[in-house]
This record gives sequence, structure tokens and C-alpha cells, in this order.
Amino acid sequence: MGDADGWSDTGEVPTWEEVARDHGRFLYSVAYRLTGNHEEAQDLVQDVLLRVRRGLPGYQPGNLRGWLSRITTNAFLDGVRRKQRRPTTALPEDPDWVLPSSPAADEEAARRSLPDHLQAALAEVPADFRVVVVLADVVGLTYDEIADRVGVPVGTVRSRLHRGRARLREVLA
Amino acid sequence: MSDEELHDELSALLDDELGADARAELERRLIDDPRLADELTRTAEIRSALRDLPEVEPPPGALEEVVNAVRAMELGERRGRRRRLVGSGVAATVLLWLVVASQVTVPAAATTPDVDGAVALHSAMAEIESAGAPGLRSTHFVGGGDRVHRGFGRSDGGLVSVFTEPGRVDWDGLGDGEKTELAGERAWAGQGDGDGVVVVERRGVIVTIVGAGEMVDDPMILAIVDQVSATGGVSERTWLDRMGELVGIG
Repeated sequence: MGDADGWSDTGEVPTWEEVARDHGRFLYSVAYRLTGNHEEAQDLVQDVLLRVRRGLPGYQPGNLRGWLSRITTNAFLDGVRRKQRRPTTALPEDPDWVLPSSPAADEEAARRSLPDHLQAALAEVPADFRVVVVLADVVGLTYDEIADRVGVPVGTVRSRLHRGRARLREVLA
Repeated sequence: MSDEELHDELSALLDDELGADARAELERRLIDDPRLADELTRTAEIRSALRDLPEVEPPPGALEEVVNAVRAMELGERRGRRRRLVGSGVAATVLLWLVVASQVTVPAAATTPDVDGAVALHSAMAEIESAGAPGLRSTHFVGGGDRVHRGFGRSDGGLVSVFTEPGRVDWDGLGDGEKTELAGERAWAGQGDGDGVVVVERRGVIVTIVGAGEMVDDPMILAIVDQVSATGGVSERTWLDRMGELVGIG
């Protein structure tokens, strides 16, 4: 999915709706790998598109995929930090609160079509490490590109990537 | 090279991100250390499995829902901005009068929910829905910060928007309306763009509801307010999901 594969800009700044149309599936896929479920992936893509809409006036045509990766990463990590500030608790044990036990049919079908074990293992990797793993192995960025998107030195990328993969090894062992 | 650095560089070796010297040293160590070589093999397997993952197929209509939600927020923001521009002069005068004349200070934790923004977003959603865009009624999303919004369909075909956010209401900051009670809680009922608006606070959660018709005595609205999370830590989004199931709407 490099720039040579059609991700380069044409030199014109797209609208956010064009970004959604042309790159929505890519954004969704990355969001799903980061969040691990469809509901949060949908929320993350929405957050990304809102940020894209706000950021487009200042966007310099260049590497659109890189720009989107950075926005997605920042939106994801912001969400993780927000959750850490306001942790959720288990809902009260009240029979009135019982939800249907089976997920929606489309959700179930999508789950079945994915390599569940690997996706579940990704969710076990700490968020900062997961971001680097997804950017390297799902998006296909180089260490320099990841360092630029995440805002950390290349050495930190190297370390987080290996530790993220090591955590995956442990979970999958 | 420390042991820790050595392990970190295994991934870099696989990714062809090592300089010539570091690569040569690591390759020497791999020949002498079968455990390190085994770790490299297993890391390579993980890397390969991740790279072979297929692109995730969004559930049907998921991206369309997201795009419609962003469109609604864009439209709602534009309308809210226009309304705020008109109202800002009056609000500033009232605030100045309150501070100077009464020396009353509003507790720092109390906030005035953005009723204008809620009304603008609700009417934008209703407009987009009436134009035939699917899926919005089951969409819930964060409208910036901790505010969560979800639209629900009513049996009469109308739309109700519910916004939740953590905090305490600054009741004096709300505009013209009626101070009332709803589900045993203090509430405010007003109007906006021809729709009814209700603000109620329960267990540390501010709930703003926008919809057509009489709001305060509507059983559905009472059910919504009655189901505000019992613990403040439960995410508002989870609460909204449960509420949708319980009152049979959405």
C-alpha cells in the first residue's frame, strides 16, 4: 500500500467526503486493527474524518496516506488517554439491563471472516506499542515514517515494535 | 550492544532497518545463540501473519453511517455558529450583569450544556434523514470531547436526539424555559428551532434531549431519563446502547 500503489496525491486538496470515499476502507481497516471491534472502529473513523475536515485547509498536498495515518494514530491515542482518564466500570447486575446475548448478524459474519486469534492478540498489546505494530505491519510504513507519524525517535519505534511483536508472541504461544 | 538492544534489533533486522555494522554483529550473535535465532524465527512468523491480514471489510452501511454523521455535525455546527453569533451579544450582557450586580460566582464544576448546538445537530440529522440517508437513527457518536449523541426513531416516525455528557448543570446559564422536574430530577424544558428541548441531570450525567412535541410528559422521555446509568463511571455510550434496547427504540 505504498505511494507507488496509487496513494499519492494528484496535487489537489481533496474534500473530506472524497477522502471518505477513496480512503474510507483503508481508514476503517486500520481503525479496526487498532481498536479490535467494529463499533469503536466506526467511532474512530468518524473522529478521523472530523479531524480531516478541520485539517484540510492547512493540508499541503504530498503524502495523503501518511497524513491520514498520523491523524488516525493521534485520534486513537487520544481516545485511549480519554478512556484512561474516565475509566468505565462494569454495569450493575440488574436483570432489567440484560442485553441480547448474540451480536448482530453482520457483526458476526464480519468476525467470522477475520483471523480472530491474531486480532484478539493485538488487543492485548499496549496501545503505544500496538500503534507502531499496526503502522509497520498493517499500513506498511518504514521506521522513519512511523517516527514522524507518532512523534517519537526511530530508536523508540524500533523498541516498541519489537516489544509489541514479542507481546503478540506471548499471547499467541 | 546490551541484551535489551539486541532483542529490540531483531525486528529491525527483519524489517531491513539495521545499518551494516549492527546487522553484521547481530548475524554473528544469531549463529552463536540458538535461543536468539528461535526468537527471530517466531518474530518473523508473527510479522508475516500480520502482513498477511486481509483488509477489514466494514459491516454493510457502516461507512455510509459515519459519513452521514459527519455531514450532520458539519451542518449542525454551521447552524449552531449562526445561532451563537446572534445570541452571544445578549448572553455576554446577561453574564456581565450577573457578575457585576450580584457578585454570584458559578461553581467551577457546573456547566451549561450547549443547547443551541444540540438543537442544530438534531435538526441537521432530521433533515439528512428526511432526504433518505439511511442508518442515522442507530448512529451514536462523540460530538467532540465527552459529549455523546444518539438519534432514536419514534413510533410516529419522528426523531429524538439524546446527548449525554459528564458534569453538573449550571441551571442559571440555560436560556428562556421552564424549570421543572422529570423522573424525580430537577430539569429545564425549553424550545429550539420549533423542537422541544429538555435538560436533566442525574448521577453526574447531563442529559439533553431534543425532539418534536411535548417532552416533559412523554413516557418515552421519562424512560430515557429513568435509565441514566446508576454509576457515573459507566460510559455514556454504553448507557445509550442499553437505553435503546430497553425502551425499544433506535
